[in-house]
Amino acid sequence: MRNTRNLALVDTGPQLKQHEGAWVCSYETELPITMEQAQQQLPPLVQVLQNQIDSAGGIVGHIKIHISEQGKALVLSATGGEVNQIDCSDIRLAVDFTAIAILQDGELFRDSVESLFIALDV
Amino acid sequence: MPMAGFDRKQLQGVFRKAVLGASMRIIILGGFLGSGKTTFLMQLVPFLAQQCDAGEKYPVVVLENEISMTDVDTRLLESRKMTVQSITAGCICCTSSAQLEYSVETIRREYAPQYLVIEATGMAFPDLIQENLQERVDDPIVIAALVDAFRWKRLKLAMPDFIKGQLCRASSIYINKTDLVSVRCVEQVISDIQKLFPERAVYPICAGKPLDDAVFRHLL
Repeated sequence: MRNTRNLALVDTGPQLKQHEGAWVCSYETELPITMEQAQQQLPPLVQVLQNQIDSAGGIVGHIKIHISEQGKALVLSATGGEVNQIDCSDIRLAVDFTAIAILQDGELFRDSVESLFIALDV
Repeated sequence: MPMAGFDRKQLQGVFRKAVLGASMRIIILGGFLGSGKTTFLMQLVPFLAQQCDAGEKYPVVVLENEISMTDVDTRLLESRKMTVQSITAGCICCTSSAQLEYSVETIRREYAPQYLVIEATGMAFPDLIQENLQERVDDPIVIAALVDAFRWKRLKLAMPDFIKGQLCRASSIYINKTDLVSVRCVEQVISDIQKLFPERAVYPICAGKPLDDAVFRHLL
C-alpha cells in the first residue's frame, strides 16, 4: 500500500531500474528555488530531456514531475511533445495541538477539543 | 422513521450491502505510457460517484499503480478530492502482483466502495491483472483501455506485440487525443484496432475536454 513519505528527505540522487525493456528513473529532492522559478525553468529542460531520448533512438514513455510549495502544487507532464502543466494545489493546514487540563472528566475534555475543530469553518 | 444515526440513504446502503455482500465492481484502466489514463480517470470517477447511492461515504476508490518510486498521479488525484491508495515501485501485473490482492481486500474492508478503479502502469498487461484478481475475488471485473491516437502509428511499429497485448481483453477501447490528429488519422487507428479486435467497442475521445456520460455508461 501507500508508502510513507520521508519527512526528512535524504537526496540519494536519481534511482534507476528496468522493467519490460523500459528504464524507469525516479528522483525525489528539495530545491532552493521558488515554484515560479521551477515553473519557468523546468518545461524547457524537460524538452531537452525528451530530445535526448529521441536522439538516442528511444521513445518517451512519460515524464511527470510533481512540484509543491506551501500548499501550492503543480504537475508537469510530457509524452514526447509539449510539456503540460496541471494545477493540483491541495491546501491543507498542518495542525499540532496540545491542551493540558486538570479536571475529572477526560472524555468531556476530548469532546470539547474535538468540537473546537468541528466548529472551524472549512 | 429512520434508525438513530442513519438517514434514509445510508440505511439503503446498509441493506444493499446485506443483500449483495461487500461486492464492488472493479474497472481496470490500462493503456500504454502517456495514453491519458489519469486524465480519463479524472472524469470517470465523478461519473461513477454520481451513479452511487448518495449516502455512500466512499462510493469510488482508486488504486493507483506506479512503476516508479514517486507517486505523482496519486498526488494529482488526491488534489481532486478522490480516495486513492497506491502501490509504487512495481507493476501489479507482474513484480507487485502479490500486493494487489492485499490492497484490494484492504480497500474493501476499509472503504467498501461500490466501484474500485485500478489504474495500471503504462507498462502493464491489464489482462494479467484481471486474471490474478479473478482467481481470488468474485467481484465483476472489466477492462477499459486507452490508446494515444497521436503516437499510435509509431508505437504500433516499435512494439506491436506489446501494444496488442495491452488491449487484448479490453471490453472497450478509447482512442484518446483525437484533437491532436486529423479525422483521417483517427479513422486509421479505428480501422487498425478493429482489424486486431473485430467487434470490440471503440470510442474516439479527447479526455482533456469534458466527456459525454455515454462514453462511460457501458462500464457500469
